[in-house]
Amino acid sequence: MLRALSRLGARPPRRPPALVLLPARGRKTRHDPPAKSKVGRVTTPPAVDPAEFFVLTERYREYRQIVRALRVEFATEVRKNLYESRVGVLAERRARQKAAEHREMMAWNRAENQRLHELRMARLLQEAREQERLRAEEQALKAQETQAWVQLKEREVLQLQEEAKSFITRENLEARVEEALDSPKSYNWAITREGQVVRPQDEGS
Amino acid sequence: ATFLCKVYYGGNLTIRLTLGGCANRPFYRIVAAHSKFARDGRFVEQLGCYDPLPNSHGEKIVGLNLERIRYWIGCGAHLSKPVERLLGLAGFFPLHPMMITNAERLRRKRAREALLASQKTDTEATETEAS
Repeated sequence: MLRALSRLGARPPRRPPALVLLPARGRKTRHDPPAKSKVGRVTTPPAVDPAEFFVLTERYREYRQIVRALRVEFATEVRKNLYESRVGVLAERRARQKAAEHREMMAWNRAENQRLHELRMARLLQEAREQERLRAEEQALKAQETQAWVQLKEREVLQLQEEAKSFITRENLEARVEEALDSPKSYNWAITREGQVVRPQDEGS
Repeated sequence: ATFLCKVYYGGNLTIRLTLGGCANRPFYRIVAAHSKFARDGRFVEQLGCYDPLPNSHGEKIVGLNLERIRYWIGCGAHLSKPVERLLGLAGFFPLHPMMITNAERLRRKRAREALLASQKTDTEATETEAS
């Protein structure tokens, strides 16, 4: 109380200051010079009621005390939360859960890989068998084709052999020539649109 | 440093009001920002809002994110006077002494004016009685 009142206590009256004090900033900035009308101005602070002042200082003291206590409490809370999040029970549990989940997922992944691997092996075997079958079929077809070709050639050879029996040789030449001259052939025949041959002896009168 | 990512020397984290809105329609946002930044400039986190004009029911709305305010005060944030007043009115902080003092002064002034008015009516009544 005494400290509060001593602040209001007997002080020598203030002299007009060398520099005129500037009030709240309005139109002018801090670099503009003060006006001529304010040359001899002496600013007087507002009157203070000592009782009210004392009450106010007490109130401020209590207020700042409470606010400081609140700040300390909030700071400890923040630090505690930080500590808990790093080294707390919940954090450990979460870490263990995460590790377990990770292990589970890895095991599942391995199982999936195994399964897919087996499927792939089965598929590859199937494909290999298919390939074998196709190749065998192709080979069979080729063999058949060659067989058919060979048979065709054999038939042609036999046919040629048979035709060769009626060829004209040097020995048959004269006999054949005599035979051809003795048997005349007439080329006077026509063909209808339907493809029927028309000979003049059959229809002519 | 990139635009708006400047690093200041000195200064501290402050919870203060940022002015927004239009002409003749202020609207404040309660914001945690570095004290050296502009009033409406870069902030760290928005912690609430305050509408100074009363709404159709005659209420002035204040929104406060108390969890985050606790966190930032615990990290060592300063508070501006209006924010302290708002928190005091909300009950989170004790009432600001200046607010109580101003209220008392206002009450005393109103009482004095009422007394003066009643005295004037008494004197008028006596004058009329006398005349």
